Amino acid sequence: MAISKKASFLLILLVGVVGIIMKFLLNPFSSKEAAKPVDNTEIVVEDVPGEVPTPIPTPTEPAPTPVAKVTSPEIPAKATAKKISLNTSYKSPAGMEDVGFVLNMDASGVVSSAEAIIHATNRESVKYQTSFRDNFNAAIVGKKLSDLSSVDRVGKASLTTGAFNASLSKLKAQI
Amino acid sequence: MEMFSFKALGTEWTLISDDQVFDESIQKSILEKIAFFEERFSRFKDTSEVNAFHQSLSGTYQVSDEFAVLLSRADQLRTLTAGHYDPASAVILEHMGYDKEYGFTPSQKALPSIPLWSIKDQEIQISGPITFDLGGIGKGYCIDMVAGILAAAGYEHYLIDGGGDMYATTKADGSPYNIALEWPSRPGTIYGTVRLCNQGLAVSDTATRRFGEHHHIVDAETGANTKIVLGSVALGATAWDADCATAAFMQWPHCDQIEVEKMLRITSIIITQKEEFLVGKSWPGEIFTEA
Repeated sequence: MAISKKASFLLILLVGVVGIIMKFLLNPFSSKEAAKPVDNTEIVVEDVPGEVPTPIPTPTEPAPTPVAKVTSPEIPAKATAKKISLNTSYKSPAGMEDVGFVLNMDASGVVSSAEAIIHATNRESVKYQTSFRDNFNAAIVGKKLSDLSSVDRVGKASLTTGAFNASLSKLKAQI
Repeated sequence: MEMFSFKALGTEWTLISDDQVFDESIQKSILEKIAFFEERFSRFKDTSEVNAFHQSLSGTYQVSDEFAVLLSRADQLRTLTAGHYDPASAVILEHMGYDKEYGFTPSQKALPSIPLWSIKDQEIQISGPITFDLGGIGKGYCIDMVAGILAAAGYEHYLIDGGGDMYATTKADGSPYNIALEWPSRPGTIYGTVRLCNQGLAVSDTATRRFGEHHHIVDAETGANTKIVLGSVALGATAWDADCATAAFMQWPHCDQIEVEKMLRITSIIITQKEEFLVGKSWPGEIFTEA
């Protein structure tokens, strides 16, 4: 009889604990404590050598861990350009999500490249972060080819020669 | 540095070698191979394989090994783009006036429907008369073919520029080739650079080959020119992979950039008509930004 009472007590205790865990999993931000804004923004500024590096390629798949810190090459003594990496969090309907940014700046403080890094794992969050990342490159500017040095070739849509352009010119002449 | 320039597939080609000269024999071999490719796969050639079925009845037919390879890749792209890319949309280009006579006079007839086709091994099944336009993916394939000729002849350090699409190994000192990326519709304006090292690069836009209100890229789902994408760039292991990616981007107005990048193992930039730059997160090149 004593064993039966103990078993009943353990069963009730187990149901209670599982219930609390399930409640949290299903609605993690219902408590006041969890609803508080989280400010875990992390900014790292690193000097990098001479030439401004290109953004560090990130894996095609979203990173499985919430925060993937950006690493940089070894830092030599005469560093001039800077790499600024920033990881931060925001609240989405699916819970807290992480997103990272990398800015590469040359010695004069000009941003040479910028990249948003997707850390989200939730499908919807990945979609929104992708959209954000795609529009992140807002201030892209053009330069004259003559202002660039060390360029071997120009990648561009092919211009047809001969018949295409000749026929088009004839057509325009008739208009 | 040795250079060899010529015209082929309707554009200017330049080959650069950093170790061997382009002697008469290799020049002849390259020109013959490209000419042969053009004879077989240009829709502007009456006797080409892509025109072989333009009067055929519905049925199943045999195609050559190489045509089957090209059509199989085109079929994959068609599936990936939910039908927006379809080489059988040649019929729409012809209707718009982009025909082999370069008439550029749109037909007054009703818009034709795109014929149905499928490919299995070397057998093609068609719903009726059909012409294929491999323009979106053929040049990349051809650039890789030239790379194969050079590699077989012992060249190690070279770049093949097929009118802006290219493949490069490395320079003789092992350094990559630095490529400037031209802003679509702004000739001479560069928005970034990328380094090529045993990689292929493809560039496409809707600003270059325009005739009247039309350009040369058709969305097979709507039968009209695409209006959302202005241009795209892809960097891949081969020029063909890169070329196939830009074909998908250009013809598919709401494309899933990440899906295309994953399937073809490329990285990319898509430029919208509003000149928004959608830069793939693995893009390794430099993009010029405001201070």
